Amino acid sequence: MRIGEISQRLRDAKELPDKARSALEDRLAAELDSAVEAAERAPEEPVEELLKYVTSPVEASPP
Amino acid sequence: MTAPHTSATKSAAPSGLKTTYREAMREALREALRTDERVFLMGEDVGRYGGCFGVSLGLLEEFGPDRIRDAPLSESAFVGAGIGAALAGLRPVVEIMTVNFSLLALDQILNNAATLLHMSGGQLPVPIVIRMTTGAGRQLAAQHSHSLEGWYAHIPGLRVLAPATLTDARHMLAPALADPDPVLIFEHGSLYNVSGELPADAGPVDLDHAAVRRPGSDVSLITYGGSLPKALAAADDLASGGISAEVVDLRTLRPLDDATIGGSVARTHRAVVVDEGWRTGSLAAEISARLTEQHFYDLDAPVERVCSAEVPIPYARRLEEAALPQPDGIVAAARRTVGEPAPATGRPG
Repeated sequence: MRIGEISQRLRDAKELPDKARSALEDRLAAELDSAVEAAERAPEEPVEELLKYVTSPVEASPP
Repeated sequence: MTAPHTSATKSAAPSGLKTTYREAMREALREALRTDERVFLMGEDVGRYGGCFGVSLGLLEEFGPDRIRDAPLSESAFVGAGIGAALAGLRPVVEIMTVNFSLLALDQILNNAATLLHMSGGQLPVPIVIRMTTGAGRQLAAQHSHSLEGWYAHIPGLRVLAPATLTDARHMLAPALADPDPVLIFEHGSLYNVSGELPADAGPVDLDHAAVRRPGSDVSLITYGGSLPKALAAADDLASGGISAEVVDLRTLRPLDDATIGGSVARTHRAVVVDEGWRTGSLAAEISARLTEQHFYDLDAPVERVCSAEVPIPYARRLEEAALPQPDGIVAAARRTVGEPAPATGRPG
């Protein structure tokens, strides 16, 4: 089922008033914008770290 | 991206149909469905959605839900159902979204499809075709990007194919369906959008033979699937430096065409195996071992291997590119075989 269909069902059932839906969408959009901004600000992953965490670091304590 | 140069293939024709790898696969399916009523396609989202990579788009409307069957999200169940259908006389084509997901059906593929003929004393052939996407390069991260076809090439009883050109995408399915045994077809995800001209006179592919895609005399670049365009690009680069590279496209990963591989190395005396699988226990390792066993005295240099770094394929584009075989790494390996200094590729490991 698609998001639009679920949204419509919730509206039809009066479980999701327009005001609450709008607030939810605004919050999600802001969260996504923030995540994109953080990703774009982040440094490129160094190629030297390509093999990092394939196995646990040798200095790690035994579990 | 355009189709790789294939001047050495016998089916190269001056004019043909403009198409893509994806459309060529679809046309192969359409032909199979039209010509044999026993053929049906089954898999996740192959019907209404048109396949997760769009290969089967429109086939549901054309052939109906009995022939184009959307399967539940259980690879073990629908591959098992396909094996049952094959045993009952049908000719199923089962699509698995990616090779990573095929591991959920590994029991069915190994313990049933690949073994029933032997265990039944020849009474129960399993003529099933299982198609799946393989490989990386599309930032789909570690659970959708691996190249595990070498694992399947380890299994007796299976035939394993890796179409790398438009012609092979279009014309491997018919001989695969004619095979009385299980056939796995690995479609590299980076190839679906490759476009070019399909030779007008191309016909069913000879599944027993590898293809020399570019002749050369100094070094053999032995590869398959999504690495073929990279090997051809490397051969162009090497040619500009005066090194003539022959490019061998394996096409069939099991059984390997030892004669074509060995014939090429007997001419060039040097070999670089390019394999997107991990280096350890790889198909490249198998080919290297066979060359050492069968052509030790033809070799003028140790066999080189260019494989993926031994890491789950990363999501980040920069790291993903660093993890995969690339033309510069192939060029560097080829140069080493002819005794030329090769610049470092900058990749760790």
